Amino acid sequence: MSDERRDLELEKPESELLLWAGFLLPPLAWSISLETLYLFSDYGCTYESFLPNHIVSVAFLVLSLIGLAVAWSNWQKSGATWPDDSSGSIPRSRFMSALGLLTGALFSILIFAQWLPTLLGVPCGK
Amino acid sequence: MKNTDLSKKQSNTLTEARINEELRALESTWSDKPGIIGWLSTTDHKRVGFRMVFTAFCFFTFGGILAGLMRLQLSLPGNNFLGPDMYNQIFTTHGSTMMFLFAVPVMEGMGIYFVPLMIGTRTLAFPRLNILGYYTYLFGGLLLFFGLLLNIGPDAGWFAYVPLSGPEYGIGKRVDLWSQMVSLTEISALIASTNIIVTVMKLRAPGMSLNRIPLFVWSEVITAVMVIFAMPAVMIASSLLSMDRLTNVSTHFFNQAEGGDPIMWQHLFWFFGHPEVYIIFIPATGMVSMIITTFSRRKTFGYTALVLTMVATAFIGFGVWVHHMFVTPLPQLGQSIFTASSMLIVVPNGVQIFCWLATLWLGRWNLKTPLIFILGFFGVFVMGGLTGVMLASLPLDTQLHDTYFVVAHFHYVLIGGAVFPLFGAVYYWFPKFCGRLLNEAAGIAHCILFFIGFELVFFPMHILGLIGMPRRVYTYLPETGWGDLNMLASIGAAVMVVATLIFFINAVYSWFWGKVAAANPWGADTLEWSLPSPIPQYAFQYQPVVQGRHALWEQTADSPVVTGLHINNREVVSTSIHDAVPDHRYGVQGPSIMPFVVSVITGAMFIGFMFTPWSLPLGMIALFFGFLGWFWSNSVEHRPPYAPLEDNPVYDDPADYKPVEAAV
Repeated sequence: MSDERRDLELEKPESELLLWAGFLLPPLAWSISLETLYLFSDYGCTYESFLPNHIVSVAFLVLSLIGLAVAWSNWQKSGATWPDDSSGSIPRSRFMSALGLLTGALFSILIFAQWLPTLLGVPCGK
Repeated sequence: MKNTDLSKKQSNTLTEARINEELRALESTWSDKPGIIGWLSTTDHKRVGFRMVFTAFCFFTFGGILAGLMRLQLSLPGNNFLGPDMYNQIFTTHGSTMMFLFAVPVMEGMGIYFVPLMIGTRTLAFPRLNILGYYTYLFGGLLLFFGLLLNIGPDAGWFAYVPLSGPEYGIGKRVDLWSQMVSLTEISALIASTNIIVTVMKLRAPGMSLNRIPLFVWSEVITAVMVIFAMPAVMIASSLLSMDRLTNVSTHFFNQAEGGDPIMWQHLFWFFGHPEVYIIFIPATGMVSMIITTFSRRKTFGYTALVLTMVATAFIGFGVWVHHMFVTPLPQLGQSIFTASSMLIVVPNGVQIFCWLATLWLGRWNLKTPLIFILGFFGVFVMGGLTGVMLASLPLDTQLHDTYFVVAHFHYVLIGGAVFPLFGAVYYWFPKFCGRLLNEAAGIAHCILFFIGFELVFFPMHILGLIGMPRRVYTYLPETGWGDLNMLASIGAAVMVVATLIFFINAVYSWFWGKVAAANPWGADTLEWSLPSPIPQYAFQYQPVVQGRHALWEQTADSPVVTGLHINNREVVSTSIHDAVPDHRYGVQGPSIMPFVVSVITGAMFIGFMFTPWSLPLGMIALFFGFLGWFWSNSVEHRPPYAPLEDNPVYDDPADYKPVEAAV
């Protein structure tokens, strides 16, 4: 794809929406998973049933990975090179998609790390 | 890149007479009204930002004096220099001052001053709102110290845990003073944050796309977003507490006997309280990035990664608050989840440190005071981060909770992470405040003494905590063996006082008699350094068109500028969010006394709420009329604030039109 066509493509509102989705979906998935896991932790420890925690962890891990995939796709569309500081929608899209890749990786690890106490099986050892 | 290039460019295209005529018109358009009314009603972001920084440093001094009094009291076992009640008031006021009245406002003040300049605009988006924020902050701060001076200062700690702060144990109006101070200062923080976000999103100079925003500006925007999510929690909590305490309201939000929940207070408070640490720290990271880039004389290593680390820290900062509540009866599974996030927050912070080290490693150092403070920052902050990882561990935290180990940890993080970079930033940007440089030798002495004093005060506190000294005790017995380390800490406090005095003397002396600074004495890369020092009220004669991430280093003699703005109205160019493409001319409101009037009404309403709930509806009615006056008289000659570009396009040169984007 030529740079001009790519430029026009990336300036479309839906492309910009996808850039924000790739950037923000993983941290938002993590935020909601944290709150939900915390909400279920009392229930889990009282009834010794951790299925809701597993479901929440998996669901939001998948959501975060979807965000990562969207960022990856955006990055491919914008030329798949590391962002520099030149002007225009292509470098700016590279910048936002690279941010999305990094947040996607970090927050997916974070969701997994928060799943670990339940996975390891000793979550209510008081 | 020479900062004179812009004026050379202008002189190539415009006659000197026209330039002078335009400058006079701009001066007149953007100047404040004369006299005391003019002083009270200014909308100049530089004046408001400077007042905020100055006021915050005044509160820093008062808070520091209180810390000194505490160290005097604790220097000897069994000391009776301060009684328990006064000690409670002092440590509560010290903590509240440093968190609510110094650390957050000073970072906001720096943002209010420098963000518009760094993004190449002349004003904040809502200038009247800006001065309203300053006054509410000032009234909140005065309220707190008014209480302390009358011996009715708050005494339940800066976090005001219930039931200690509730109606049953919190006597008189002490906690109410704290509560209303919180509401007033957080209103101010929300105002500043809204202003900064809108300004950065909509008023950036053409060409400053998202991937070119200076890191300090990123840090201020990210912090502002955090403030908007964090501050309402504490405002709600303090309002609920006020209603619990008010005898003719007497709600029971936190009263367990009546179905309330004291743990809810801790949740609400720490949902604000932990992000607060990052609200203080993230702007400081922006300062570190600016100083390291300038004094390494190279482009920032890992710009994208640095932006990511700030965004990630901001998010994760909201997911660690329960680690302050590890000794409350919460399910252990929940606590383990928060251990994970509390430990993983070091990942983005670690990435930041390595990016800065790489910039330093690859650069050519210009070892001046700002950079020396940043080197001190590395030593202190990394240590604080490491003890933070220790405290994120549930079993260790259970042992160390409420000991001096925690006091040592958070002072390493907050003084190391925020005060060291802030001092560096003051030395760095001082020429922009007054046109003169701070004395270098005094600066180095300040930095070295402050570092030594800091380590003497706070390193021993780790050991004191490990051997069991609890926080918030006004004295201790000689048999505990804590006396020597406490004496050492108190000697360190004296060294810190000397260091800070050197800074204040240096600041006052240099303000009047310091070495005159050139426009860009450090060879820095951001747009504020293209302006003369001190900066004229209109800031930019022509708003620049940005050529790269390091704007001044990449500016050329034929760089385009923004023309076509009316010089007889307060106008700036508004640009698109993503790529900063010119969108429309934006006219801003001029000075008005009404923000001051509204802030007085707001202050009276909150103070009145300590005594009667009727102050709220009465205050709201008064505020209605205040805002009516605010919007009634508009000094922009009743022009609509939105003016489409088609009327008078923003061109570099009308005879040779090309879109700004193409020109870049």
